Amino acid sequence: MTSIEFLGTQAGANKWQRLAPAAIIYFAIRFLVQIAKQGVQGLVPLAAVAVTAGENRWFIIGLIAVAAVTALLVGAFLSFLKFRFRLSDDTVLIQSGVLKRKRLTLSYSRIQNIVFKQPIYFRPFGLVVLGIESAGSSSEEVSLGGIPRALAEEIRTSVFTRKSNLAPNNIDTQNEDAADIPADDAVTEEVIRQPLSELVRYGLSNSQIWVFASLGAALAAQIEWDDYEVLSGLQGQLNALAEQGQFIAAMIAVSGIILSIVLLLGISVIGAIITYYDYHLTWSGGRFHRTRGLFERHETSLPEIKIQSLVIRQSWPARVLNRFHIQLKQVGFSGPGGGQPGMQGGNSKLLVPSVTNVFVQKFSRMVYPEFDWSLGKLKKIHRAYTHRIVLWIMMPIAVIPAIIMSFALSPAALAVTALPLLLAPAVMLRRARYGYATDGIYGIVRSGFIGHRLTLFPFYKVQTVQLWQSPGQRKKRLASLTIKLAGTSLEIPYMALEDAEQWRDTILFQIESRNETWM
Amino acid sequence: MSNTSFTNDAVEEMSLPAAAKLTYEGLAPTYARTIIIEWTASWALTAAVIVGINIFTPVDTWRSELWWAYALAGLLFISGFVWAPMVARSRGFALRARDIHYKSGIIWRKTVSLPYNRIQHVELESGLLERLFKLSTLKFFTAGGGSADMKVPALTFTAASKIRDFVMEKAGTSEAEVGTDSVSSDPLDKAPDITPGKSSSEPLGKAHDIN
Repeated sequence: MTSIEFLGTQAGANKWQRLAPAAIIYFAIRFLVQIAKQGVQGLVPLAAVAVTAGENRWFIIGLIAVAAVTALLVGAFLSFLKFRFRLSDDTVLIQSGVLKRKRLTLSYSRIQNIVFKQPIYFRPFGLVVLGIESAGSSSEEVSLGGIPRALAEEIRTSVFTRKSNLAPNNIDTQNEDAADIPADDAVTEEVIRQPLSELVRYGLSNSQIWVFASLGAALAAQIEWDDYEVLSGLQGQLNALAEQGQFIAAMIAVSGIILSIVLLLGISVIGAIITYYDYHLTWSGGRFHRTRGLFERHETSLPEIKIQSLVIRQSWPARVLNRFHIQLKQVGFSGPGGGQPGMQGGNSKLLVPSVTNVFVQKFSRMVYPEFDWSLGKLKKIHRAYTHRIVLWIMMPIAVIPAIIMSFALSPAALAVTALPLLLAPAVMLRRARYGYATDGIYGIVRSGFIGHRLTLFPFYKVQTVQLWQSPGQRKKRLASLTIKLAGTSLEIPYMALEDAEQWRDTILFQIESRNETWM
Repeated sequence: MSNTSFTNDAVEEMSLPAAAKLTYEGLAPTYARTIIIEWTASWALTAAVIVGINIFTPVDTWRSELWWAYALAGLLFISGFVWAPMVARSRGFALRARDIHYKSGIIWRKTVSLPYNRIQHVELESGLLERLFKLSTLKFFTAGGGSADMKVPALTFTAASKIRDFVMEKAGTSEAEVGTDSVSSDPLDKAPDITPGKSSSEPLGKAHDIN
């Protein structure tokens, strides 16, 4: 194989280079995977043709198969021809695409990780797939499928050398160093240790169990209970009891519901204890360390700089128990070898279960020292939000079936149009939960329904800001704002246009003037 | 183009540069035409399928009693010639020294603002039709999500590569100048002089020497 000569001898040649010809296999397989993932329904008409073709069926199927394979090979070959990459002084450049031409530019300073993969069909050629990952997305941005391992390694070293040359004061590197050596001078400060009682509270107020419960109910409805003799015996007894009077029937129903709720809560509490047993959160050298778990101890470490936002949740049961659950959100890196030591892949949040209001205050001061909770009350969003949801979204959804049903069944079906009005109080509740406030450096966004969720974030961690306006909003000088953080998206609907514009300008100012790395 | 030279220099808290007061650059004048062509092609395809079914199957599926549906479809098709130029005109972008803004929408208006120092990578894309009109789409990606955070369509090849080079330059430097004063007197701190309307000579996929 003379692919090295073909490819050029240096990673940093600063010339457009092609992949090794064996990359055709890589492209062909990628096409097949793509077709399998999205395009299977596109094959249905072909199958229909084959089935209805009658006598010549096998001939036609064969023809289609030959055509498909030819198209695949030609496509893969052209993709190979059109794929070029170039490593310049500070960027990776990729040109690709047969019909749709693409040109990608990725600067070294944004590269987070470089991975090698060797699919089985590349093994005889000694080739690898080089994947280059940058922050924030689940898959790699660049993949060079089919370059010799030596060249791949050369690219990796050259990229990382140049990357470190570009940013000599890379905060990231310093942090990683601090992580590897448990610094002696850094004091380990205990943040919180959760006793069993708090874990029980977390289990009782965790809303996930209700999602699980509805799934369970849906499953239970699928089972033919009559197939089980024990149960049908029980059912007979219950029926006999129920015949004695409606009161008893009601009692049976109520106690059944209570029993299942208690059962679910029990499961939830046990689950919480197993997952969070001996929960222990400490802070040292700019990092949070968490240990938890009954059967399997989990240790997680999160550098302060990676924290994107602080989410304080309170579901309605938690409200009763007067507790909050805190989440530290970070960028979610998934995929093997995410390159983050001490962090599990895909686990993009660190949870502090069941804490009091006092702890929330103390903890937020720890994460965001400059932030002051007393900065004022949250601003509410405009009433027009309720009108909009009820009249312009729910109403049309209700009116169309109501009209159809009134024709098909009886005019009484028009009563369905009253449904949105009945739901209006719920929408009003949702509107009342929305709130926002800022001190110019941090932002708070609250949303929710019965419980609530409060997100606290420094403006400079924001990635993009979007401002939306419908005709109605323009008339009333309102706007909706979408704030995208790495991994989370926050929306404030129907805020005053003045506020929305001020938020946007302040956020942009913070991002552009602070120049701090966001991760 | 004089009105692109915005600076973000005013950095006192009380006098933040207002993104609402930006003047947006229009996209290439041929953009409306490309929308109409795409629109026509999709309708032609639908019509071809209907005609094809009626020719190749023995059953008559013209359903002439549904004449009103045909009329409606026809009207919908013609409406494209009215809204396509409006859509094209409603979209535009604005470059400042430190961020790029893209607006779109006739009824629901949307503005996306993207600071250069949050850009992860940039993609320049040019489909068949776009290449015919010498246009390309510029896509910006941040860590905010999987798909492109900002897509600026219908830029001439020169305009697109100029914007890309300018943005990449800014994206690269902003991280390196950590610690320096945010008020910059850098002569590069100006938006590039680009003319989106002008058609260009440099093709996107220009052949480069391969070793």
